[in-house]
Amino acid sequence: MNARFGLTVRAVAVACIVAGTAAAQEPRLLAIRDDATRELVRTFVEAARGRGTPTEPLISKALQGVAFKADAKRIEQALVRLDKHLRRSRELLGAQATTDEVAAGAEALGNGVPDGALRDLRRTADRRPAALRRPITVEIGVLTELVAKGVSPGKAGEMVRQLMARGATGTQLTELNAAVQQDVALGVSPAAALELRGKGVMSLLPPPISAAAAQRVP
Amino acid sequence: MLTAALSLAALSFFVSSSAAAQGEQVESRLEIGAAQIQQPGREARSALVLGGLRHHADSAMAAYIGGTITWARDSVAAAQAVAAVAWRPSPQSRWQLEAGGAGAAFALSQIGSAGNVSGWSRARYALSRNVGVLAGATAGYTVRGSEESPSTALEAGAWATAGPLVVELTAARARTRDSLLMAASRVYGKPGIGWLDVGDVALSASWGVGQLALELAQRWRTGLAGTDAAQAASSGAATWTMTSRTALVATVGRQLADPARGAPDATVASAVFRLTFGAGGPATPAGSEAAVTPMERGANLVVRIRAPIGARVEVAGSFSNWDPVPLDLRNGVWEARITVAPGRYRVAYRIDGGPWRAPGGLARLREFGGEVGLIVIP
Repeated sequence: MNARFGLTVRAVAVACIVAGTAAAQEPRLLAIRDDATRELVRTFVEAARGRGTPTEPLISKALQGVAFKADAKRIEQALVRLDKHLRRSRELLGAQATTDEVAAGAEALGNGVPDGALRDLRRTADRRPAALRRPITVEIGVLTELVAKGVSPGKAGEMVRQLMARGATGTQLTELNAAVQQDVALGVSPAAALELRGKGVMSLLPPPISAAAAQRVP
Repeated sequence: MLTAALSLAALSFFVSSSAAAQGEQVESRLEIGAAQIQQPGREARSALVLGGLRHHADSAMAAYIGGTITWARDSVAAAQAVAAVAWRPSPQSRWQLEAGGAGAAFALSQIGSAGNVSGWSRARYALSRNVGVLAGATAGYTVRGSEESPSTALEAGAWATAGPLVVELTAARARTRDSLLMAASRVYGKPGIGWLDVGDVALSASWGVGQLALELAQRWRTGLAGTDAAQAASSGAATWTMTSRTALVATVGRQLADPARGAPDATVASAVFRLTFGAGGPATPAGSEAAVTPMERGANLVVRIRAPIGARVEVAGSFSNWDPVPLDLRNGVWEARITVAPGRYRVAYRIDGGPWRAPGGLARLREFGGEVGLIVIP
């Protein structure tokens, strides 16, 4: 084996090891062909993993950027922004928040939902009787969609919070969301549609359940 | 009069594009507007334009019936009725056959009252998804007083598409005995010849993105077999879709005489308001929708896209790690059925590698120069 052949073998071996390591960590990143972009994403993912914030949104965002043929700079800008929102979401939703909740919160913050609205949803959820507590991923997701449809963040946040307080289910909230979309498509203003549909859902809900009352439930 | 010919030209494009559309579409249109028309050597005239049509299309066939009335202050008027059909043997067929007929009655300031009937047929063959060839024939018969003038035309050409751009190049040879119409259009024959022969080369392009659609056309004409003609004409049209039911259509340019349809050489500028009625109208400008059907756990996400038969339609999203998933053609509509677990998802589709867009019916965000739709599955 001459020196040149040995060098080639080592180079191939190193490449295999590097690729194998990357694949072992997150095989989906191998879909990113540009080395610099893949390394950039890996850095963000490793940092998030170290902090304990969700990594899935970062990977998904990067893959979306690649699918949309965004250049490395735009993908980096998107990841910086998302990473910031993931950290802020975790602060607002608390240490007990699930990764899905934190990810939903980051998406909400990135689309104009104010800090206070997320904090209010968490507080409202925490006031639920222990037996009725569940993640608020759907609530945050519906809030994000309502804001994306053009409802003011304050009005959307307050409506979702009220519905949560009255015990609206995830299905009821997503149905509300779909109804608002239909109304908007017919020309109704997003705010008026939410007001109308929100009151409709509200009328179907029982009065707020107090913790004491919930404890009496067999 | 020009509008009559223009509406036929538009019809040709309309039918061919509608036949390529997927899914059943039924719609009616009412158009009202104004036009400024000038024939060679005459003063320009203002005219009122009133038109209507009914159109039906599914995956294999498109049919159209409509009428246009143009009325000018000094009694220069035209009324035209047209009917046309485009048909494919199957939704996947490379062949498309088109045929149509028109009848018109008009009063022209320079050449008097007349009537015309015409018929045409055309076959298109797709060589690939983006390129095809066409061939067709037209025959027309014009009666002007005691004078009866037959006309014929043969054409061949090719078309190509690139995303939202469609380009068509055709060459045609037309023969007519309508020397009066052609003389009014500055086309003359040598003394003693019965037929006037002209050769035309036409290049047209159409392009539509979002609410705006543009069409540009250029035609060159040369006299053949003893006919004296050397003419060129350009025209353009822009359609701005304001809502799913309303649009503004502006047209400007010159048309060369079309003897088969009895249409003279004229320059026109028109603006028309279009009102569309239909079964709910188009769901979205892009003809797309996403529907979520809840299951015991998770949901079935169905994405439906209206796109040309030969198109490459893909959907991607966080559920597929943004790997494009090809859609299947089902009952004339491109469709993807995806089972998703509870959670939040982003979804987008594209046609022929074009920009990513959010399906209709979803909240949408602009990201990375495209669009994504948001979905929450409880």
